[in-house]
Amino acid sequence: MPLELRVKKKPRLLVVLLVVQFLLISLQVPIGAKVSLLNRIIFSVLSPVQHGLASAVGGVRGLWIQYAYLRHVQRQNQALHRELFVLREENEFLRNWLRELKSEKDIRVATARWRDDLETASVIGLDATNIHRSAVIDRGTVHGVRKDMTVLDRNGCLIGRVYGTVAGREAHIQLITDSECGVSVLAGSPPAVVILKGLGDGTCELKYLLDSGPTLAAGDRILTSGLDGLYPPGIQVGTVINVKRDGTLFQKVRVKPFFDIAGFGQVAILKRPARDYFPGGGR
Amino acid sequence: MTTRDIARALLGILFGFAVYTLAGRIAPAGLLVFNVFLLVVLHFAMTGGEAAGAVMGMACGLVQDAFSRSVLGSSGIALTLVGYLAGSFSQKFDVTPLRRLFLFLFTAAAADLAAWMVLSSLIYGHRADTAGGLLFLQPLNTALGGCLVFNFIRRRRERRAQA
Repeated sequence: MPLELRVKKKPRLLVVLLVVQFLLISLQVPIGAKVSLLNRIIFSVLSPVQHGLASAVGGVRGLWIQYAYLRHVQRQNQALHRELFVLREENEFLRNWLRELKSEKDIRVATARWRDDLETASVIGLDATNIHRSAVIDRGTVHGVRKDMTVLDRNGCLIGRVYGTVAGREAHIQLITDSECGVSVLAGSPPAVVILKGLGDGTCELKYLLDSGPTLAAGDRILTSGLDGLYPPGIQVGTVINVKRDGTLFQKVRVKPFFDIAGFGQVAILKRPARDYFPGGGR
Repeated sequence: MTTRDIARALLGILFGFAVYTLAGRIAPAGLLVFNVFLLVVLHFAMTGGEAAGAVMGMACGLVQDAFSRSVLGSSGIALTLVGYLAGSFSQKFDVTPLRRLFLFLFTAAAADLAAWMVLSSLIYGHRADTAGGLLFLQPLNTALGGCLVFNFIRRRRERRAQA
């Protein structure tokens, strides 16, 4: 092929590649409405690789611990850790429920059905552009995981929700620290319903809390209100770390979530829709 | 393009993906300050020219987008542009001396970050998340890491050629 033709083809290739990607972006408008087919395909093809790598890392760790260090004790310990994890979640959730529930019958029904509603999972990957936005877990449609299910950490505190890309054995979760994430929360005393918005740096802020509203101080706890229809009410979200009143209409309140991204390991997925967790809401 | 080239490209993407996954397990903050996908793109751009750089840029960018909350195509466009320009530049100038290599990698990483931030701002209508400014450390760390890796690869090739 003559040299001139080859030289001309390269800018054309660049233009084609850019046009394809611009078209891809325009197909995703409105942003966040749905996950594109190509996104699902790439995620479905590569997430098992990620799952395998994460298992391999866990396997190497496990090998050392299991064979070089008291094998049976470790196995027993793992079972107890799992039990403790589920009990902590149960305890935290039921404590919140007890504040709301009135009849003993409601509590009995809730306790009996609790374990069926909880799926434990491990975090196998973090967001490729900003770790405070999303993560990948090792549970998918095969395990009954669906879009918008609530995800909690090992202490029953809110991490985020399952969003669009759910493969057979893996799912993508959006963290509450993502700047595109909003959660309806209760803040202050008497409690005011406000929106908690991620800042993309591991912290969140309270939006639209009026200057004339409740006074908040560092250390105050923030709970979900359940009014967004996405997250059940009464889940612990984080603590207030900074409050600024600068004479404008709204207070500027910064919140540090309870979950720790560096200590991500096991998480819990609530498999029932948020409305079922309201007192008298079907449970 | 031969089957071997395609296999090499797929292996490159898999390598980048594996490093990203393992880094996420071992040191999550490392994912913010180091861009392994960009290094894969730059390696192919330097060895295969602008076409290889652009195609690898698109492939790695789409993988990066699929495993993040970004819109599919935003990292892809940034990496395609950087891959193409890096390929074109490295074919015309010798970027193998260490100081020049560092400057080349740093400029490419800064251009990728700038392009991604501009695109993200245009798509979402607000300033791109920089994780409290940590993302601005990415060009420096990626350039330093790239210098080590590319120098190691070059020396190994030279030793092989001598043998």
